[in-house]
Amino acid sequence: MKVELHACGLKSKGDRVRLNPTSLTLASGQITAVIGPNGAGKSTLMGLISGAFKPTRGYASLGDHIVTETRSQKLAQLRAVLSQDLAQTYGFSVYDVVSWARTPWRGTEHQSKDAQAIERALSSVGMQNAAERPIHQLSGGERQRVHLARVIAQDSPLLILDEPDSDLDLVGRNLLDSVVTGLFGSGKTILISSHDVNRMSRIAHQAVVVSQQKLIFHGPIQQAVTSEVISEAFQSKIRVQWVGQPGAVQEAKVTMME
Amino acid sequence: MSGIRGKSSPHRSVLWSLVLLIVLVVITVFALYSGVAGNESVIIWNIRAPRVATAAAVGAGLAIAGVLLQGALRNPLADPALVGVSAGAALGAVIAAALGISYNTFLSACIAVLTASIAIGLVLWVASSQGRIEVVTVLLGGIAITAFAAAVVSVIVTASDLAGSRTVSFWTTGSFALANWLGFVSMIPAMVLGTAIALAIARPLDIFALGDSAAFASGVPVAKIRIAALFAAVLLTATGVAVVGIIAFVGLLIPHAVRLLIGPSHRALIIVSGLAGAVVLVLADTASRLLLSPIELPVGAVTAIVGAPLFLVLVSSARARQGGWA
Repeated sequence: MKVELHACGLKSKGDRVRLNPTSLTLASGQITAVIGPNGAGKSTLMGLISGAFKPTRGYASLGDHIVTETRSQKLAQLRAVLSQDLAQTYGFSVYDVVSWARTPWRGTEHQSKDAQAIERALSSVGMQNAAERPIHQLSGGERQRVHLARVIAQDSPLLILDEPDSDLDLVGRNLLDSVVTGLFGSGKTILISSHDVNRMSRIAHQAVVVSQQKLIFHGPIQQAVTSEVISEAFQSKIRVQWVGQPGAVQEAKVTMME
Repeated sequence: MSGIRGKSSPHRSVLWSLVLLIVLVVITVFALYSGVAGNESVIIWNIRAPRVATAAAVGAGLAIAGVLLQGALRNPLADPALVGVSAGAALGAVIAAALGISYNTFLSACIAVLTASIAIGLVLWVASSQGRIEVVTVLLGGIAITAFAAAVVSVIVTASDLAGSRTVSFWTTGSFALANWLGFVSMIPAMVLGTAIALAIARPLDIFALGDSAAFASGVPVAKIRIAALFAAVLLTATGVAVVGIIAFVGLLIPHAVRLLIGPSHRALIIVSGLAGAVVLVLADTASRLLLSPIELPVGAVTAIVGAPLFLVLVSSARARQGGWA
């Protein structure tokens, strides 16, 4: 499925620019990292692709579907979203919450796979033994894993993960990285944002770098995570060194100068 | 793998439905026959039966409306009387009466639905900011709309011969004393439609718990479901108010009590809350008739005396849990 922004931009009320008109095509079946400082427009860019925001210029498309003209159920068959603004949920079990992800497949032949998809998603984040626990009794990190499972159970070709690591500790982040890599292995297209550039350099293939409401670079991660691009994005002197043998997993070391 | 379970068990809700159904039958029989010497079937079938049936329907309607408002607005303090729906409906019935449309008729019920819809529309218009509906502003808007509608009701009731057949206190505290079969029948189409809509949107309402953007991302048409829920709540409230006046706290407290018993899943919550609402209002009406017999207490006073203290407890616990609500 081709995921594209066509001169797509957003101005909020009062003419504040949230993202300047941007055109890009995501690499299908690959992991694309969205990198940039706070307030640069990362969430806006992801929200325009997911349909959370209506663009004031241009449009976003998923395959043949223009995002803002697609019904919510169809849209949810095409993309799943893990956002930062989840409400607190009381009383429902972990299984209930993950099962909500199957909403877009109601009334289709995929509905028969509901139980299997939910169980597999719970297992992939290591929460298979917590299915019956009420979600409000979980820790922040466990809850984040449940919501990751929910997004996996939706089983759409595109996954949009907006800072999925924000509530995770070291172990949780490692788990997240292996889950994301596993999803890539099953052919998903993944768009993920994070402040941890080092980790993104390890798991992502492509990068979208935004700064001050503009796309400043889009291409292979090795060309994006360089001293020049990262310094420009964060408006600071930053040194990037790639380590690791060619052919093996390579990783960037990002350090602030002075 | 097949060992994974955790879907909410329906057993508790079935059990509670049965218990409430039995209690409803018992108090209905008591309400119909208590204090009637011999077998005075005219009193039972023409006065008591429509009154009990009306109390049961109004109670069920208010409780289900409370479930819908709390779920759709993600607001634990939503209630038809607190968000302006009830006062809007009372105003409609009074305006209709002033224009010559009799109370307890289908047309009167329709006009109450119209004015109640306008009332909640105004409240949401005030409370929406950049796609977000603010908890406190909904309640403030409800207070303003209720004050305005109640004032206009008192003006019309005082000034109009036709509307004045029901007093201001009838509207503000509610009473089943004027219930008859005609009034019961006038609200049934809206009650049935409202309940059907409620059951149809029960599952998407569960998903509302994630917040608007995550619910939308999961494939829920958030705006459509919210409007359907509010309209169903208006249908379930307004037609009852047109017949019996404003009864507060039932729609607010019953969903909370039922959630403690059977959990937050909306399908079960709608069914069990409906039954509990019917039980509570038949009980409250019977109490209002018998406590100081032969003097009859206003039923809304009975529900408020019990409900208002519980409301304070609820506010305090909900506030502690959410850490305040701006």
